[in-house]
Formats: sequence, C-alpha cells, structure tokens
Amino acid sequence: MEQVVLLLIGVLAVGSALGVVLMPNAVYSAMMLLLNLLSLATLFLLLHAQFMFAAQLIIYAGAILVLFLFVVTLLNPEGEYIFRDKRRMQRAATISFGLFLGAMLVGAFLAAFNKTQPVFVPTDGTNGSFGSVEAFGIDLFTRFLLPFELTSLVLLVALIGAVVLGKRK
Amino acid sequence: MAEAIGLVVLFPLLGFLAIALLGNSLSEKGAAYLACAAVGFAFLSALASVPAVYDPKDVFLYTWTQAGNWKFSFGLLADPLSVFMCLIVTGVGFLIHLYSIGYMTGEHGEPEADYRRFFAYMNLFVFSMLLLVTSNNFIFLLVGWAGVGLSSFLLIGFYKDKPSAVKAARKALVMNTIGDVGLLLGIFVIILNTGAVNYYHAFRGAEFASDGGWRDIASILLLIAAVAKSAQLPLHTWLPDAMEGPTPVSALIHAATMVTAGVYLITRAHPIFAYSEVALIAIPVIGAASAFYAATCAIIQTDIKRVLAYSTMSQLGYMFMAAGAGAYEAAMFHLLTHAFFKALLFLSAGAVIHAIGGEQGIRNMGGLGKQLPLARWTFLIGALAISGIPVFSGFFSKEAIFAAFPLFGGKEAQVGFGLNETGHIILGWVALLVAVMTAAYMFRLYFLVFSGPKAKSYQTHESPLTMKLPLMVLGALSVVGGFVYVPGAYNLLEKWFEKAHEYVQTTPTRWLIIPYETIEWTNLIGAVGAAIIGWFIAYGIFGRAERVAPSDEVKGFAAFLQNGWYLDKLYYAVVATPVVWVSKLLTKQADKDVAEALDWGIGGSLWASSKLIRKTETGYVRNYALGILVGAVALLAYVLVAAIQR
Amino acid sequence: MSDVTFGLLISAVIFAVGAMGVLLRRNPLVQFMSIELMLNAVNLALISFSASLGTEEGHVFVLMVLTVAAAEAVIGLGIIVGLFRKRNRIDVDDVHSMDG
Repeated sequence: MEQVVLLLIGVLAVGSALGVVLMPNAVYSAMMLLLNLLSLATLFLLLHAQFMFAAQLIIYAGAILVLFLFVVTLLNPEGEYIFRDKRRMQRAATISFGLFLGAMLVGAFLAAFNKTQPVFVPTDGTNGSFGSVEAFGIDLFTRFLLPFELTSLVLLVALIGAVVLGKRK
Repeated sequence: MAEAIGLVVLFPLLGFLAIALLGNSLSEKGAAYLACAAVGFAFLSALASVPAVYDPKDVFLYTWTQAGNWKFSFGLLADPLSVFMCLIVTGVGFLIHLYSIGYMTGEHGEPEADYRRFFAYMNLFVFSMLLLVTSNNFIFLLVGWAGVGLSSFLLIGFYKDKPSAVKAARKALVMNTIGDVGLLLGIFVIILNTGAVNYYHAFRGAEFASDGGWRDIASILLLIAAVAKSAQLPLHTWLPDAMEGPTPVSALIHAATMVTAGVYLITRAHPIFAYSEVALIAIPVIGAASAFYAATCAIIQTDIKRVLAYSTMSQLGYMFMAAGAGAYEAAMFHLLTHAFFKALLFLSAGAVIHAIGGEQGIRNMGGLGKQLPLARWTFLIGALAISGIPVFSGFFSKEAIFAAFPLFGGKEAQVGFGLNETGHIILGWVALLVAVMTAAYMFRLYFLVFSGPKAKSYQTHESPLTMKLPLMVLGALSVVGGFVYVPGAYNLLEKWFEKAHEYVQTTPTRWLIIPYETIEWTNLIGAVGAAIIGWFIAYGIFGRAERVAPSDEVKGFAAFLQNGWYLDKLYYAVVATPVVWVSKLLTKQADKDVAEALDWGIGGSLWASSKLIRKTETGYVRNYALGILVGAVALLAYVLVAAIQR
Repeated sequence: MSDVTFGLLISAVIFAVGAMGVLLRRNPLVQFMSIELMLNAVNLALISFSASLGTEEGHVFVLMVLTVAAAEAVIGLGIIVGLFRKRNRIDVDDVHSMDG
C-alpha cells in the first residue's frame, strides 16, 4: 500500500516539475509549481518529517508561491514557447547536458545503493520521536542556535532590500 | 679649514640651480650678478680651505656600499692638488664671469638673447669642474668629467641657431665621449685590481701592487680619457671647431680649465701612471707630438680664436710632456701660468672682436692698436708671457718644464722615468722648436691685428668696465704669476705640494720636484733664445709697415697646415661616414622593419584570438547559466568517476 | 526499493528538470520558478538523508534553505519587477547590452 502511494506521489512530483518547465503560460507554471510543492510536502510526510511537511506548506506554498503569483499577474506576460527559441545551440546543449546530469545523478544513486539500501531507522529519542516538533525544536535551539540567529539576519537584509527596491524615485 | 672645500663645490651648483629654476623671474642682469657672486664666493671658500694644504684629508665621507672586499665610499678631498686647482678654476672663472657680463651684450650694451641661459651653463660648468678636482674617488671624478663634457657641449652650441656651432658642439661631445669610455673602463680596471674607488685605497693599491701589470692597462685607458679631454693627438679635432662658442667660453673652458682636466688626471693618478712603463713613454711622446703639430697649424690660421685654440693644444702638449716625465710640479706650474696668460689672450681677443662688431678674421683687422689700447697692451703681455720672455710668468713655467728635458743630457736626478736619456734629449729639442714657433705665431697675430696698415676701418666702441677689469687683473697675474719659482733661488711649489703624498701615505718615489738650487744655463739660454728667434721671424715677415697682400685662397702646403694636416677630413672619411651609413641602415632595417613585423605579428595574433574569445561574451544570461551547468556537470562527472574507481 | 532511495531518485530528477528549465525558458519568472524547483529538490534529498541517518540535522538545514529561498525570492522578484516593469513583452534575452 505504502509503495503505491509513494509511486503515485513521485509521478505527481516529476510530472508537475515538467509542467512548470514546459507550460507556456506563466500562471500555469505557477500552478504546476504549487502542485509540485504539495507533492513534495507529502513526500516529506512519508519520510517521517512531520514538521518539515508543515513548514513547507506554510512557507513555500503559502508565502513564496503567493508572491510569485502576485508578480506574475502584475507583469501580465504573454506566453512563450520553448520550441520557438531562436538560439538553437543553447537549446540543444541545454537538453543534452541536462539529460546527462539527470542520468548521472540517478545512475550514481542506483549504483551506490545497489547492495544495501538506506532505510529509515526509527529512534526512540528521549526528546520525542523522529521528525516531531519537539525533536526538531530541541535541535534547532541548542545545537543550531547560531545558524538560526543568523537566518534572522538574512531575513532582515532581505527586508531592507525589498524596501529599497520598492522605492519610487 | 678643509670643510670649506664643500662650499667651493656648493656655491656654483646653487648658482646654476637658482638661475635655471627661477628662469624669467630673475632679471637678466640679476642672473649675471648671481652667477658671478656664486663663483666669487666659491673663490673665497677656496681661499678658506688653503690650510688644508698642510693637513690634507677627506671631508664629507659617505659610505655608499660595502660588499665583501669592495667598499665604495664617496666624499671630497682637500689636499694640495685639489686646492690648487680650485683656486685656479674659481679665480680665473670669477674674472671670466665678470668679463662675460659686459661681453655678452649687443651694440649698445643691452644683453644678448639667452643671457640667463649662458650664465646658468657657466655655473654648471664651474660646478662640474670643481667636483672633478675635489672628488676623493673615481666616481665623482667621472661625474665631474661627464659634467664638464656636457657643459662644454651646451656652451659650444650656445648659438643654437647656427649650424656650424651645433656641428662643432656635436663633434666635441662625441670625442669627449670616447674619452669617457676610456675613463670608465679604466675605473673598472682599478676596481677590479684594488677593490676600491676612492683614491686612498686605489692609489695605495697601485703603489704597493705586487703584480703591477694592470697599471699599464689602467693608465692607457685613463690616458685615452685625458687625451680626449685635453685635445691632444689623436683626439684633438674638436678643439679648433669649439671656437664657435662665445669668447668667454673659449677662455674659460678651452684654455684655462676644462682642457687641463687631462693633466690633472695624470697628476692625480700618478701612482698608476708613474709605474706604468708604457704610459711613461706614451705620454711625453703624445705631448710633444701634439705640441709640434699644433704649433705648425697655428702659424697659418686666419681666425684669431683658432690660432689661440691651436696654441692651447700646443701648451697642453708641454704640460703632458712634463707630466709624463714625472715632473708633476712643473706641469701644474705651467697649468697655472697658462691659465693666466691664455685667458688673458682670449679675453683681449674678445675685446677686439666685441669692439669691431663680431669680426674674427685677422685678414680684416690691422692697425687696431691705437683704437683699442687696453686690448693691445694686454695682448702684448700675454704674447710675451706665452713666448717665455723672462720676468713674465710663462718664462718660469717653461723653464720648469725644460728642466725635465735637458738639451744635452743631464744629471740623473733631473731625468724622469720611462724614456731613456736619448728620448728626453730628443723631446727637449722638439720642445725648443715648438717654443720658437710659439713666439712666431703669437707675435704674427699681434702684428697682424694691432699694428700695420688697416685692412678695414672700424667704428670701435669702448669696452665696459666689467671687461676691462678682468683684463687688467689677468695682465698683472701674467706678469707676476711666475715668481713662485725662480731658478737658482727658491721654489714655492715644493712647499705647496709637500703634503700631496700624505693623503695616500706613500713616499713620493716618482714625483719630480722642480729643481731650483742651480741655474741650468743651457736650458735658460735655449728657452729665451728660442723666444727671441721667434719674435724676429714674426717681426720680419709681419712687422713691417707694408706686408704681403693676403690672397684669399690658401694653396698647397699652407692649406695642408691650415686644415690641421687634414686630420679632421681623415677622421670623417674613416670613422664618421661608415658609422653614419651603418646607423642609417639600422634605422631603416632593424628599427622600422623588424619592429613593424613584430608589432603586427604579435598584435595581429592577439587581435585574432580576442575576436574568437569575444564570441563567448554574448550578453545573454542564459548562455552564461549554460556555462555554469556545463562546469558543474563536468565536476560531478569527475567526482563520480573518481569515486567509482575506488 | 526503500523510501529513502526513492526520495533521492525523485530529487535527482526534479533537480535536472529544474536546471533545464532555467536554461530553456525566456520568461524570467518561470526561470525563477525553476530555480525554486531545484531548491526543493535539494530539500528533498536532505530530508531523505536525514531520515536514513536518524538525526535532525538535515531538517535544520532544510529550514535554513527555506529561509534563504524566501529571502532570495523577495529580492529576485523585486529586481525582475524593477527591470521589466514598463515593458510589454518580458523576455530575458532583451537584456543583453553587456555583450563583447
């Protein structure tokens, strides 16, 4: 049962990724991205990362994607087609190298995990089960406190940048 | 005190810099007075440093570098020889500067064009000459040597719009450069063999050298330099042409000071020269040959200043003869008196030239004695001095030189080193013959210019005081200047140069002093007799009221003499023309063609390759991103392959 | 195959697809979305490895990536808006004045 669900979600993820890239209309691409985000979130859940599932949905699908949609509708673009690209060498090189990249990565993974597959090891952590909010929270605020604080700095910088970019002259 | 010698060098340098940098903000007369004051103060400082004659030492020592055995330290030297030269250079130099204030003017006393430039160059010259004579090491000597060559070039070519002047300046510079190369190579040999450039170490190394063969090489090289600077055979052709410069320049540089640098070098470096048998033979021979050659050429010249130029070369030949025989005191003495009377002769010739508006050919003069009395009397004094008539200064200095070249052989103590006795006797007779010719051409000049019928009549104007005063002072000096040595009585120069060896702490084994105990009657009568014979010849041919009408063309033997035995033309044909031809060839081939090919070749290939590379800069972001992707893929592939192989 | 392996494979594929999308699309917004795809693929890989190792480090890393992606989206979209605000047709190929 679980395998079927997994396969389904996987197909959905790949398909929506292809949709993002291939759809001519930008709004459709955004919708496809939303679908991709949702399927990835589900994959997170299936991989026992409960907090990340929620975080992905809230942050990515709920904030970033919405921002994308705002901008897309603001700029109101017309559609474009990949296959009417004038720069043919670019197209050919991209497709070939991209496929090569994908093949390399997939092949590498398959070859590495030929003999033994990595599996999920459930730990009976004292701080809650794996992937739960408690476990995540404790790691975040003790071992990784510094990176956490620094990301707040990153967000501050982005905020300032946004204000500066949005100013009218 | 000895440190004053630094001031001697400093004042003319400051004068030059001030005039050069202040430029037009200094008035013309102001520049002239500044230059005179600079040299005047230098003279006073030279007087102040006279005590160093009895206590010679280095001043202002500065160690430049020290590497292993080599130690190069620079400084100035206050010793009898340098103070002697300083006094001459600054004293005569001051008088000539004063003279120039009045001379370098036009018709009504207004300064000529480029007045300031003249005085700046004169100060530069005096500074370089003083540096040359006061240095305590060969490097400053070289600097001063090159400096006087440069100043000479600038001053000979002072009338830079006159092509003949520019040519003459160029010729002087080229020949001087030959000398400079000789000096440089000589310095290298000295450094190689003694490990030092300063005189103290170099001369001690030369005097006490165990393997002294290098002294021959060094002295030949230094001799080349001296010959070039003092216009001796064979590097002499620049001196007659150098008369294109203004007369004060001829007086200062080409009579009293710069051309004596060669004699100074031989005297200063006598530990090297005196121990080289080759040099000891070469120097007197060159001196005698030059003296003879110049005297023959001087007899026939038709330009006042050219006669005096050849006369300078001849007298320098005397000095070389003395210096080569080891009679350094005699050479220095003649240098002193020659400075007096030759400067006097040039300056009075200048007074004549200035008075008659720039004419220099003696064919156009005559009978000027009544119109220009001061010039006439001073010229006469100079002529008497140079001929060696007793009481005048030249007599005593020529006596001193003849003492080293006895006419009939002499006592061992008097004969110098190097040449054997026969050689000395031959040179002695040559010197006598030259004395005859000297008196002859000098009085020829006097008679043709100042007495006899007038070739043209001129409207002469009085010389200003600034010109008269130096003439009178030099006239007086030419009369009394010789009394530092009276044969049979005393020799002041011996006291002066007594401590010359203390500085290098050697004993003067090869330094002849002028003998004064007894009077050498043969020399005395010979010298005076020669002078009188010469006077008679001149009087006979030129002194009488009517004279042979000069024809414009000079043919045959006279032309040979007048053109300097055609040596100049010979040099041009043998040396100058091939060099010019080769350099034209090089300019065309090597410079233009090769440089062009290289330029287009390298440049062209770079251009083509950059055109190719430009294709990658398309400006499209996506292309650049593709580049990133390609790089990442390649990297990943490499890592995977490496991992697989493990 | 296990979950983790599957997750990794999906991640690889989505990454490659995203890379091709950046290079192929001329609309800057879609390019940006493709970049987000690649970031998501990396997140998935991190989560998968974290699951196999049993520690929370991967999750924390993913949070960092998420934060940075958000900040980057803000700035990037601001720039795109600034560049293409007044144009009719938005096409990344229009900005190629810095060519050699």
